Amino acid sequence: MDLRLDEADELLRTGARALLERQAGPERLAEWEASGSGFSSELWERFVDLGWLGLALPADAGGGGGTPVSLGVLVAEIGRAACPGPFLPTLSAALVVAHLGSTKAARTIVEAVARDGTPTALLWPADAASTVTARIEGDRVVLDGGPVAVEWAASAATMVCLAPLAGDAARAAGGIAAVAVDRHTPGVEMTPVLASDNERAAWVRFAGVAVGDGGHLVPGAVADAVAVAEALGLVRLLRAAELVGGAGRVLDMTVAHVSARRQFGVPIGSFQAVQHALADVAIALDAARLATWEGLSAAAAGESCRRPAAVAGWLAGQCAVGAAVTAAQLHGGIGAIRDYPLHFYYRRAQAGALRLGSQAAQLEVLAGCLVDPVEAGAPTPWLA
Amino acid sequence: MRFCLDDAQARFCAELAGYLDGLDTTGVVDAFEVDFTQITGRAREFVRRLGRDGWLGVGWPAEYGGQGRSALEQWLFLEEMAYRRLPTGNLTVSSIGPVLARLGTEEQKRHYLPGILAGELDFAIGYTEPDAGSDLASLSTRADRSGGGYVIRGQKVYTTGAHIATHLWLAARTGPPDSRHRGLSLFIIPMDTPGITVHRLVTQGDERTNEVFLDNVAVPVDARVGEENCGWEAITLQLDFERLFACSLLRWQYEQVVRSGAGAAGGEAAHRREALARLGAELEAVRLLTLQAAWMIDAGETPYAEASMAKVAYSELRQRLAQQAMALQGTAGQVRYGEPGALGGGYFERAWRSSPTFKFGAGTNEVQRNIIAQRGLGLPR
Repeated sequence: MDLRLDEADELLRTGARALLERQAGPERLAEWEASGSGFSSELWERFVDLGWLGLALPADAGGGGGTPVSLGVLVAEIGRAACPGPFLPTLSAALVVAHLGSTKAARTIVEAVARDGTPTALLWPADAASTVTARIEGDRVVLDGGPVAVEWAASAATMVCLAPLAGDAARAAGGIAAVAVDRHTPGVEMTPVLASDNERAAWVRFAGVAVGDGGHLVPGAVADAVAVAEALGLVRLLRAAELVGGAGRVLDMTVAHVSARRQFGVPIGSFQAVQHALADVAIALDAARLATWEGLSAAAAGESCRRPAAVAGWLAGQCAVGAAVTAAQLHGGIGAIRDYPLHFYYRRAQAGALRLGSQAAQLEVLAGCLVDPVEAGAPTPWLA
Repeated sequence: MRFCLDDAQARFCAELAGYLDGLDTTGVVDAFEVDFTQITGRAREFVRRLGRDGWLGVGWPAEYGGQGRSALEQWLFLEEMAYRRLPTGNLTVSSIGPVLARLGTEEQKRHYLPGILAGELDFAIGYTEPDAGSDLASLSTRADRSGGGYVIRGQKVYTTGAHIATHLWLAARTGPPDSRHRGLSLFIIPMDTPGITVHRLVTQGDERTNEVFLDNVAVPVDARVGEENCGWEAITLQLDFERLFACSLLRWQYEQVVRSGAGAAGGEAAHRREALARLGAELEAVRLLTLQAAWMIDAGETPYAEASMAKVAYSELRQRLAQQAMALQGTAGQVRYGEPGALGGGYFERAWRSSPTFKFGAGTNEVQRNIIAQRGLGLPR
């Protein structure tokens, strides 16, 4: 057992933090948010040159063959910098495809991300009441439904879609169609919108979008439910890494602020009401951070990450939002001013947690991992 | 980075499980559940058996008869015992022994450690006084030099186990009245020493605790642990040990809640499922925070803030779990422990009454949050 990052990941962390502090400071964040594209293509190119997009993709597809832990290190630093762009959806989409996919279409997507850093979007049934469904018509998959808000969908030429099969029987069997949709396919409607935070989204609607076998990510297009759940575990873990990265920065900023800010002749950080609020943030953050690394290291060892991923997603969302709320209160006026960077984190915490899906859906995933096995008589897992 | 047990740790868990599976534990759980703060009857016999078989001092150094294992293994041991609801010798083994091994004289170690490890000696901890709780450094029980030893006068309260203990682990003032933590000394006193009177107090959770009156109790100089006026070190070290692994039983309790209400229907079922999912995630948080503190010790670090984090998370979940379990039971939840028809024997009804103790015992959670903020985050005192 070793809860530390290994030396290579520690170097990656320091390098990523230095680069992002230099190139993604608060002034740049404000610039990018006000720009048409919403992110820096220059910084994106830098990420591609550094091999970050393909970091954890297979070496034979042009990736770096790195572990999910290394990828988590990187994503946590991006969260810490509040740096916007289609980075997380692209990484998540490529990881899902690398995990699930076995077709030529799957290989094309993974290679495009690993070699060229091609922005890619990911649509998955994050909410319990997901409205996009698939039906099989001969060798075609037909997608219908929406609108759903999909992160950075309009910046990507290709969207990886995981859509439950229509019909109660198919749903109950857990059938999920896994296809790649070109955004110019007839029937795809996309309306770009601003997101609550400094990322972008688009309303995506599918009206009879037909995907031939050239777009199937697995033979026959219907993916194994267990494999999908594992792949979505990785998606949750990357989001959790982003959220705890951001929450870590929020805690640091707030500790610095309350240590410097004086009222009644003393630093406000000497007041117990302030200390206790920050102690609660520290507890929640450590728990969420540990859950995230536990999941990522399980995935790195080739073990199932479903359970820790469900826990990490939930704890990270709760902790990031809680940290943001406390930070906003302890900063007072300055925290709400656009010239001060806290607002990026306040907005990103809630929006990032929402991208993990509705509260009901997240709790359902948690219940599936934590409650069902115990109800069926299995002991609560402790340490493996 | 690796969160899994390594081979040796996994072997230890298997060995422990194998040993426990082979023991006759009839009546032990019941005897322990009557009052988890006191180990008597069948529970005491069981603890002696653990001692004879070398399983009490898992984390104790080998030179004092322990297994010399890591903090992580010590935690895994306590966790497994709690999961089976078996006693482990309480704080005497987990906190007094390790402090004596570090701070006691050779003679004290020879005199007490074997008896503790055999499950024969049982210490009650005498810190709290009517006017000294969180502000322990203000305690006023005095130990004054007299002849070749000390004479002790004062009063302790919430001295749990004092009525069955063989010894009292007592903090008393040897310095001037305003000497705070620089004027305290730590003593070990046999409970049958003349001048000690124990009065019974009963908690809302049906646990027995005590007031202890010390009326001119004469003790020799070698009853003192550490130098005169240097008792603060022993007190805080003992509390560190007490806090660190104050996390057990939740896994067993969680399983009871999950399994007890199965069969709920409709909206009730959906609500129950959500509540259990939330509790499950909180239990995971407690597990990870404790793992972190134990791992840090084994890595040679001192988990000041991290042990406090684990203690706060654990104790608050313990209360919430009992509360939530009863809330899911609805009107039936009001029936008292042991009454006919009480759900699950009324286990959670009693657990709810017992649950406040963990949030202020071993240092209040308010003090723990101060520690997290000041030692962990570096905020000003």
